[in-house]
This record gives sequence, C-alpha cells and structure tokens, in this order.
Amino acid sequence: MDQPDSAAARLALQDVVARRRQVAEEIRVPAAYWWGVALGWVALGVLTDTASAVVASVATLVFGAVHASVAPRVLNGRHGSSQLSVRADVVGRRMAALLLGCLVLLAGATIALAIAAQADGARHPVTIASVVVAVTILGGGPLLVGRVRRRAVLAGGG
Amino acid sequence: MVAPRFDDLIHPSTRLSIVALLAAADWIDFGYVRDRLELSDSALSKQFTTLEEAGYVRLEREATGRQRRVRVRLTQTGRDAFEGHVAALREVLAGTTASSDALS
Repeated sequence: MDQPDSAAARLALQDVVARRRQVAEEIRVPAAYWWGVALGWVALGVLTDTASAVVASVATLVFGAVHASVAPRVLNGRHGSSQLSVRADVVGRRMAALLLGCLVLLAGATIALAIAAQADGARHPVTIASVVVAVTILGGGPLLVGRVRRRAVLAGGG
Repeated sequence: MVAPRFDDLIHPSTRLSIVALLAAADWIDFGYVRDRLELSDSALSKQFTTLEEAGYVRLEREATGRQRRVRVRLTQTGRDAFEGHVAALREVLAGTTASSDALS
C-alpha cells in the first residue's frame, strides 16, 4: 500500500485523537466512593461528639484503613467503567494526589468549622462541620474528577 | 521518540480506529469496541483475528456465570507499530506543511 497523502493522513490522525478522547471520557470515580467517604465523614463527626475519645479514635483508624485499601484502585479514575481500563498516561499522574490532597484539606476544614461552631455555642460542633464537609465532598468530588477528565480529553488533541 | 514507520496492517480506517482505542487503554471489552465502531460481532472478530495473527493484540476470554466476556489488549508489538504509524502520519503532514511553507 502506498503512503497516504496529506488529506488522508490528517483524517487518520483526527480519528486517532477522537478514539483517545472516547477512552478518556471513561475516566471517573464511582459515585459509591463519594457516598462512602461522605457517610463515613458524618459518622466520624457524630461519634466524635457523642462517643468516648477511644471509640472515636478507633473509628477514625478503621475509616482510614478502609479508605487506604480502596483509594489506590478507585482514586486514579482508571477503573470507573467495567468495560475498559484507561491507561495511566491518558489520565495523567496527578489525579490521585490531587484528590487525596483535597481530602486532607477537607479534614482541616472540618476541624476549623468545628472550632467555629463550638465557639458559637453549638451542641454538636463536629457533627455540623462534618455534614457541611460531606456535602462538599458529594458535590465537589465529581466536579473535580470532571475537570481532570476534561484535561485528559483536551490533552488527547495534541 | 518513536521512529516513523508506515504500517499497512493498521492503516485501514477500521483497524486504525480499533488500535487507537486499544492504545489509550490497558484493556477494552470486545462489546465496547463493537459499540463505538458500530460493527457487527463477526466483522469485529475478523479484524481482531487479523490483528491477533500479526501479534498486535491479545484476546483474553473469561466466563463469569452464563456470561462470556472477551477482553482485548494491545501487545507491545502492536503499540510499537501504532506509535510508529502515527509518527509516519505526522511526518506526512509535517512534510506537506514544510513544502507549502517553502512555496509561499
């Protein structure tokens, strides 16, 4: 077969980019992950307000251990579809670090909000703070993953 | 940087689309490729057989309950061929751009 002319080469390259974008569209973190983190966050907040320090500490450790076992597989966004596994170079390296960084920031925000609520005389300051943060996780998590996905899709255009 | 190498096996549009999808993934379900390319099972199977015989893809069949699934992966040989082919296509375009620059 002869080499293609420039028009055929351009069409072929456009198709290559379009196919890469189709795969990049599958980058996602399952909704169950966000719900799990949000509900766990609220549960820890409630326990901190109502249970003993030992119970709250043990619950926090259990939550951290479960999260640590799930996060590496879920947070990279590569396995959100049951029909394919997106290559790491398509997702980019920063996705998991970005999401974990946000969770650390939200832990700080929870403490700050709880201190503010306590200063305001709230009876259950940590619960209030954790509910606010849980709602942020449910709304913000998918938005953040959407941004990463859009970047990956646009990167396919190069 | 991959050496440009035009690949006759990959160049037909359907096969190029298949390999381009596979190149962006670790593995892809047979059904996903079929649906995206709007091909019949038999037409896609033929393409995969050609690519498999060339050592470009590997098909992994697994049965879960009553369902049979086929996962397809691009092999390293297939990836090298794809990247070389894409580089060759880019070279064709770059050559055209360079010659039109020289003319103007």
